[in-house]
Amino acid sequence: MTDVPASVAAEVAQRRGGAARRWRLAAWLIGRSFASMLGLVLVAGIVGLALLGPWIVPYPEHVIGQVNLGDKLKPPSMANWFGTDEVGNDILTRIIVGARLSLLVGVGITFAAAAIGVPLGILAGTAGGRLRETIMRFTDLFLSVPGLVLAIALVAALGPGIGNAMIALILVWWPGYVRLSESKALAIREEPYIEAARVSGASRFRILWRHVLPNAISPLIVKMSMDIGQAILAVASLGFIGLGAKPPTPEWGAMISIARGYLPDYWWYAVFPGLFIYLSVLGFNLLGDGLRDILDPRSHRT
Amino acid sequence: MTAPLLEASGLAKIYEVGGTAFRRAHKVAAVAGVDIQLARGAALGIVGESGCGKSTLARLVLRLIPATGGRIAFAGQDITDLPERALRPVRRRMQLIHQNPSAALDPRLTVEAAVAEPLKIHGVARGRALRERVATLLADVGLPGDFLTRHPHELSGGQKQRVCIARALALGPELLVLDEPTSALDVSVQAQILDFLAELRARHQFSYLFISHNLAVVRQVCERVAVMYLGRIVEEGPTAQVFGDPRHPYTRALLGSVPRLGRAGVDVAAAGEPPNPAAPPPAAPSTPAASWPRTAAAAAPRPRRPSWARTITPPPASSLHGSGSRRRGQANSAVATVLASFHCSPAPALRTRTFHRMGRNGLVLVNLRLLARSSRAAGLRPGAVCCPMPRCSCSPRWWSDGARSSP
Repeated sequence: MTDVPASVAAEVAQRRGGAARRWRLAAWLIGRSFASMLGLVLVAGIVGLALLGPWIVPYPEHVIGQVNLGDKLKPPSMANWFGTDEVGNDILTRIIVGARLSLLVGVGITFAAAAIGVPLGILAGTAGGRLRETIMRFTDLFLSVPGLVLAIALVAALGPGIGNAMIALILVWWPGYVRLSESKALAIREEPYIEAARVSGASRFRILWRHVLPNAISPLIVKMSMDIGQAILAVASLGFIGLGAKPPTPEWGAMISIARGYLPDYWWYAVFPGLFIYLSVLGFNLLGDGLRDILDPRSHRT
Repeated sequence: MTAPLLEASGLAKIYEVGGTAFRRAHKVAAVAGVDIQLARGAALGIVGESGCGKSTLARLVLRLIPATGGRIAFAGQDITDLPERALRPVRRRMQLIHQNPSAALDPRLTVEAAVAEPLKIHGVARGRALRERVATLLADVGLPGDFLTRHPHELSGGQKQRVCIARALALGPELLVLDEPTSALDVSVQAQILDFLAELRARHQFSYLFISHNLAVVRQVCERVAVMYLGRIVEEGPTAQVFGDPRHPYTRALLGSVPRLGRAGVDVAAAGEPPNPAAPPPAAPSTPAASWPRTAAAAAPRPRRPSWARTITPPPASSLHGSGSRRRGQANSAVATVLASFHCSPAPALRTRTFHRMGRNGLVLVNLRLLARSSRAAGLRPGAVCCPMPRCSCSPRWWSDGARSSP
């Protein structure tokens, strides 16, 4: 048996102090592509608005729906960049405050759906047999109904409101994660390194946790990033048809829903919330594409 | 003589395929009653062509797949029906080296994490002691310490195989099952790994169960050899005796199919395709018939070699041993594969079969431009080139005649 030379130990220490290095690498990989950079900027912008919202808005008192009929439906100006709505509230203020709600809802739905779907999918993919059939057929049952239609039915049953809209969307969202993680797990299960882990005596749980999940995670993260955008859109859609947030709540979809009645003369009322929905969905989609590059271990070349 | 380290008796694995609710499943015997004995410190080679059940046998012995018949005893203990939990201490003592090291390492784990995993699972060491242990293991297999933080994709094939060996050695096993440990490696690296394995055995008194279709390698490593054909062992004995004076006609055919350099053309002893275990040829494989049965295609009269094969002039032996650039290395293994694949059947039988149904020895013509160019330099006609891993180099949707016409 040979001793480890000191120089080697130093080299190892140096390479290990590489958390910062890996972040730099990730930053470089994102910066390399304009699209993912744009996605990152847009998402960072939305997150910034969500965090700082109540402190940076020009008219904080407009958030909960004050009535200033004297200022109603004013076009964009220096005082109200995005104009005002039908009760005289500043649209920019309400959009900024609405960012927090949209983001929370989008992230919440996506994470909850992944938390339900991924374990089920991985279990189905690795277990096989009757368990897999049960999980997958149950998933198919959900997938066979159009998501938004099912969500509308569920909200109608639960009663409108942002909380119920979220629950309904989570319930229609998880099957996608089951499908994706099951197909990944099915492929990974056959990899020789899984067999190698079994030869080493690894327990079933260890194999799932240490080998199957990490190797299945990158497409899942990419899907989650894109789904946050889709979930924001879905909540806005429910808000638009009156099943999501209730009007004085500053929610983008609900705002457009009211603004629809004032088109085309008061175009700014619908256009600006719509633009923010568009930008946030675009941002999360582009970021998802960028993450795909970063998460591939083969791109970690030095 | 003491009890053997590993003893299998009547070991069988029968797969049921194609069964539906309406149709009875078809039974395929991948391994049909195999008896092997492996003494401590000995090396037993298992040879046979693709699909004869060699790898299934390896996995049966390691209890990676359940046997459908027979018993397995390891160090005197019957492990055939041992539950997974009770099997764990036994797993420490038997390890597997895979054919393809690139696939046998988790792409997400660093070399350090991969080698440390078995030690962690069995609670051998932790923290600082674990790190030192891993570094020593790597040094033992001849890899410098700065490999610890690398990922598998940053290593060459030979280095990956060394990492796999370090991982297998981590728990101090008594039995190593080697499933074609060199067939996925470059020709020049194969020798290194084989030498290293021989050295390891001398140092640690391991027993090897060495599975290979490469007869030369088995001859070099093993004292005893068993020849497998259609899930059965047709001949077993000391290596020198089996190879020097083969009894069974199949062994003779297998030996005859080894390509030799420096001769124009190659003896085509084992013509036709390897038999399909799902539809075994009529005569029982254990019958020591004068001519063992091949598939129907082989029974029909045909030229001894496919006609296109004559267009290949075997290159001078020297060109097989250069190990310069990577491209050169690929050309070398390509040439070797061309030679090795001479015994497969000519076009008509293949025409309607897609690639994934052909065995590893199946003739594969690939339009890899790189290989074509470098093999032209090696004196081969363009187009008549095989790739080291035929399975990977062909789209499974191509048909063989399509692939042949595409270059």
